Amino acid sequence: MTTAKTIICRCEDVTEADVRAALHLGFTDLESLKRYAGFGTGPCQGKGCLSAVRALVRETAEAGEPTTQRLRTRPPAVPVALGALAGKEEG
Amino acid sequence: MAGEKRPLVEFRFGHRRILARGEDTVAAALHRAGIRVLSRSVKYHRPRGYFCGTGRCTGCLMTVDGEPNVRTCQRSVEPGLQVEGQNAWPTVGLDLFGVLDRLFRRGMDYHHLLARPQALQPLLHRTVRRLSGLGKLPSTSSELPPARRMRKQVVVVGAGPGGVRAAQAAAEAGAAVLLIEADEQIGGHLLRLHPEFDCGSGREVLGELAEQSSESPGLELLLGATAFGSYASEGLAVVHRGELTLVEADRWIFAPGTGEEAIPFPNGDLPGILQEAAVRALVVRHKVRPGREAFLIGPLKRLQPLARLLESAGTEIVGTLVVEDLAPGRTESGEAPEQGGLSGFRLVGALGGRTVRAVVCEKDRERRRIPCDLVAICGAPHPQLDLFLQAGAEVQPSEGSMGEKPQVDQTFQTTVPGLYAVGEAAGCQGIEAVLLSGSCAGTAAAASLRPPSSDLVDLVQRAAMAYEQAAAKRRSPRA
Repeated sequence: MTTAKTIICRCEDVTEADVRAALHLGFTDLESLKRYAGFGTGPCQGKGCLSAVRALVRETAEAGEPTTQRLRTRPPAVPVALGALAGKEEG
Repeated sequence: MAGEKRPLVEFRFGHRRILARGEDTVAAALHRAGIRVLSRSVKYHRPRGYFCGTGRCTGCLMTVDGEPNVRTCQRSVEPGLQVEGQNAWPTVGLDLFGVLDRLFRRGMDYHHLLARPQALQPLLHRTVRRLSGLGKLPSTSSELPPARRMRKQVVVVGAGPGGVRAAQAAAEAGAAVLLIEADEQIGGHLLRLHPEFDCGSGREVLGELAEQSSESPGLELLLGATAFGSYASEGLAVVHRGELTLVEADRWIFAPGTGEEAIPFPNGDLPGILQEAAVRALVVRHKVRPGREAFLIGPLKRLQPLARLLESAGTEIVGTLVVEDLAPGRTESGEAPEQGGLSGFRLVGALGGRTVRAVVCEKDRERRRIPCDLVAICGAPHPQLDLFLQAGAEVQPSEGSMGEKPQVDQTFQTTVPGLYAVGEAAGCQGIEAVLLSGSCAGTAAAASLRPPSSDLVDLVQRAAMAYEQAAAKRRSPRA
């Protein structure tokens, strides 16, 4: 049996409780929240977790405060073999 | 192409021989063989399986012929492939490290875990390093693949209906066009629609699009090519059959489509809980029955055709939870107009071991446990923004979802000059609007490369007006 965890980030096994704990510690902006809790740092680069995290941030934020924060997006957007990146240009 | 039959293929999953259809992906073939657990998660070693079906999540990452972290829902089968699960010992089905999930029942706070005594730190770090990491690198090095450069006037990313139409329009307006597609076929999400059960949703234009794109002389199609990085000055980084290609262009049209909101709930990560696109890919593209008994969650207009599709594959629908605009934190059902539908219930969580065995819903004090081996989740669509954001395009909230979409002008040009956004990624809804956004952006991109011509300006304006009309009609269907 698995224990009933609510996984928010499947890549790095970050739970809803982890994100709530980090929010409670005062990491309320997405970038520092990501650095502390670790979501969005895996192979999918936040495709699956971002809106769930935003919903939690919105829930804990002051009512009416807009949450249009976004994570900085960097390549690669999908997993790429290091060998391909090291490929030598032909000709 | 679709419909073409290829011979059966045999590959290995561990010691087990798997017989696959030639057009299968590795993950689909494993699903057909009844293998649901594809790998284990990195920290708690929880079972991971087929989930998004579109190469966006990491549920299906496996080691293929020694290469770790291959997205097996995207990798076509080949005879003799050796496929292994990851992050497990001895096997993904019976992973002894799965005990970590129970040991750390309340979670693992690695900021404070065994921070003292300090003397144990070196040993702890060595152990953690052995245990962590995603997959294992191959022990032997292989030769570096070659890399290439390509240059075209207009480059379109994504061969769904919007992208194909944009590429055609740009080619018709005289530009040399490259159309890049990660899949082995054009069509995008249309490939997951069923001609009978998804009637009127655009499936019918698939054949027409394929025909037109193969007959368009100025259009080069690159299949099996994934754009993974958009660099402002140097163009686009693309990986094509394991080889790097740097693509340069004068104009860019991105049509990456949408993904589905992932909905977190207790045990929502169990194998057997799939997003709609994954269920559809299994049934429509791979002719796999995704499960025996299915529980469906999502908006009614998506559940109805999905239920018919699943029933045609031999899956029994054991329950539905109708939730419009299903998104994180919004899992309570409205009125259930259908028999077997749960009205006013809230999703509490899933139960299971290696795979899902039941879902639990709740209303006031009443709790219901519904046994099933498949949960299909239809989360609200949200535009895929990675490439747009990397390129520096501004985005804005998208109506009707919690997501955002690129800001575009009347010709679908983003705030980055020369970069256009089309299709569902640009917030277009319905096949008609998607196709018109493609015509408009494709013509505008090609026209901007040439000296001003009144014919092309006319064409762009007509396409933009047609889009406005189609969008207005969609907003108020009776008008």
